[in-house]
Amino acid sequence: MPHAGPWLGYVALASAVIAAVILVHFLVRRPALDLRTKLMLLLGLGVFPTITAATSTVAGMEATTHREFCGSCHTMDDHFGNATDPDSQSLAARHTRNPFFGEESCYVCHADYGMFGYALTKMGGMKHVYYYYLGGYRGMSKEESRRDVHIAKPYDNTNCRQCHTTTAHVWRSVPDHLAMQEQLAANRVSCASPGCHGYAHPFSKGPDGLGAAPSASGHPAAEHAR
Amino acid sequence: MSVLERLRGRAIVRLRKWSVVGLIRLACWIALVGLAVMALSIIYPAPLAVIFAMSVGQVIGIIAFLCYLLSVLMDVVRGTNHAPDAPGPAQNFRERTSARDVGNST
Repeated sequence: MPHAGPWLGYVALASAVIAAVILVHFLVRRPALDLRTKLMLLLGLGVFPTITAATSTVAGMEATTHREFCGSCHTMDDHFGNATDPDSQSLAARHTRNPFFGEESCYVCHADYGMFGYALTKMGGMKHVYYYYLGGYRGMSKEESRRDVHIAKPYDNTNCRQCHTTTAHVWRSVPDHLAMQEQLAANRVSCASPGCHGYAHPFSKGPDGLGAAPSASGHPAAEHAR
Repeated sequence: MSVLERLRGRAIVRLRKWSVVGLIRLACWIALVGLAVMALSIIYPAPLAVIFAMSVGQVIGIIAFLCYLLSVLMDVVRGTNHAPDAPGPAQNFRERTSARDVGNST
């Protein structure tokens, strides 16, 4: 669904405008209800609105994958700011700088990659919207949101392994990876944990140093066990 | 009179109050609202606007199209000897309605 391109939005707008012109013409000019008018109304009430609905739905779904969309709620300001900070070394920031993630870094990392992943991810997103507008998150201060807003369920290592395959030589050459292979596969140890690659959003884990500690090289990913 | 016939009679009495053109004009206004909602979600893709367009906006569009389909149905059952903007009985319906309904419609 992502990467559908902006042209879908243009198609949706163009078909909406054409339909609106037909409908306004009928309302204002009041033409006789002959066959031609009926066919025009079929276009204005059926065909073009259907095109608008279909394309706007796809464009809307794509819009929900953009980082700006995720960051449009104030409770995500810190996450958005950290992810887009060129000086940050958090997992989120380093992945956001990766061209593969592009403008959709939140979605790429947090999407469910199962068979029904897209639909399940969107349903989860709907829950977030509910929490924001009806669950009290909208009225939260930033301090409260840092304290009370957490990831809904433990982060699944499968999402990391979409790119970082656990079968490649580079991955297997790290002794800690091999030692914890079973725990990682069973999600008993998270790739994004303080002893390994560090939290993706360390600022959200409090000021007590629970975030990833940089190694001598300055890259948290170089450390695996403490 | 069976329940179905009674429901059918009520539906016809209600339909008689609408003209085909009136119903199409209503469909046009409803469709314009739905189109505006969907277009807004493209121009301004905020969370509420997008979700509203993908749910309520599409329901509004479906209601408009159903109004249009109903007007087509009314136009078909009225036959050709009724002006489309005339509120009045649908001929095919009238044949099977009670005498009271027919009397009310004239």
